[in-house]
Amino acid sequence: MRLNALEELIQYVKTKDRAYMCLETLNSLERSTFKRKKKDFPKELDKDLRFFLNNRVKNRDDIEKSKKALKEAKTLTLRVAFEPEENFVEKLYKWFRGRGLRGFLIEFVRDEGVSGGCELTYEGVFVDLTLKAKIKEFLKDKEYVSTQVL
Amino acid sequence: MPTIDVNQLFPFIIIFTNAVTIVLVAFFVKELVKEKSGGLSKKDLKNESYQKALKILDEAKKESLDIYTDSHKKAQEIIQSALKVKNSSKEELDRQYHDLSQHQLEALDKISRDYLKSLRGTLMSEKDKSAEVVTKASGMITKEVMSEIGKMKENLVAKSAEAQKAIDERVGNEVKAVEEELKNYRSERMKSVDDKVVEIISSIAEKVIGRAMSLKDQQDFLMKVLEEEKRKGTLKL
Repeated sequence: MRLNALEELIQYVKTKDRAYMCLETLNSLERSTFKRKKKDFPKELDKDLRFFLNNRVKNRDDIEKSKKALKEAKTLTLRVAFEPEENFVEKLYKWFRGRGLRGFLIEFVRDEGVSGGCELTYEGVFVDLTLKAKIKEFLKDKEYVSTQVL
Repeated sequence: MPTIDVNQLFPFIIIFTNAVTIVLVAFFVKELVKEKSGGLSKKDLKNESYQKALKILDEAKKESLDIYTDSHKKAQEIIQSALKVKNSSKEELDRQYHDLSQHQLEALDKISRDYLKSLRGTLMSEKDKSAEVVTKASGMITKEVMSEIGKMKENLVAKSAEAQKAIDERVGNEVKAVEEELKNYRSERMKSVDDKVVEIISSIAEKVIGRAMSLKDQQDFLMKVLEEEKRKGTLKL
């Protein structure tokens, strides 16, 4: 299996949750000595991924490489207050790929404390993109009290 | 005049007379031996010579005694005369000494008086000169001191002005610093109040808006925020 094939795999997986699912599938595939078919793969995995697993993973070496690629993929963590929809995940992943990011998986962490927006962490970089931060940013420029008193 | 001590001359006179006596005795003995050597026996001649010698010795003794007596007498006379001379010389000498000393005293007195007079004149002159010098010096010193006092006064005035200026400047700076500090403090306090207001408003707004947001709104807001960050160029991944 080539390097761009593994990149393609990660691109199909997209999120950390699905990566765990995919790893389980790969383990099952390994145990069943490739007797499992496309129809047996979990429905949570999108059709492209199921197709990929069915046609591209041919032997034990492919399984090992795929597992390794999934485990070593970079994680982009988004702390959000909601459960993202499938099409939103697709849209978001594309957006980050459009920013030049490769070989990464998105990890959504549910946090009720974040009312809106998200807290983003990627390779040691933290960005506060929450609703609260944005409101603060908006209000800070106004100088409500000091400009009126001074 | 030198004085002669008679007691010193006396032993010389005795020695002299004895010597003369011995020479005379020796001479007579020789002569007698010459005359008698033809007719008399040696023993008689010897006796006779002896007797004669004794006689001569007695005579010599007598003569020497006479000479001694005379010489003693003469010596006494010389001594007396010498004493007289000594006394008169002494008196004369005393008188001369007296005269000389008197003369010298007078001369010395005159010299002293002249010297004293001259010294007094010199002293008076020096005194006048000194007084003049002191007066002049005093005037100069007074002038100098007055000048120095004037300079000191000017210097003091200048220094006082400088000190006053420095104090004014320092006080001005202190006042400025305090005003600046006060301004900063007020600004900080206002900023703190602002921050608190922002915190309160944002918390309320976040809760109100967040609660009111649907899933779609949440997702749209997240995309919008990401787009805004992309536009501003602040999101560097």
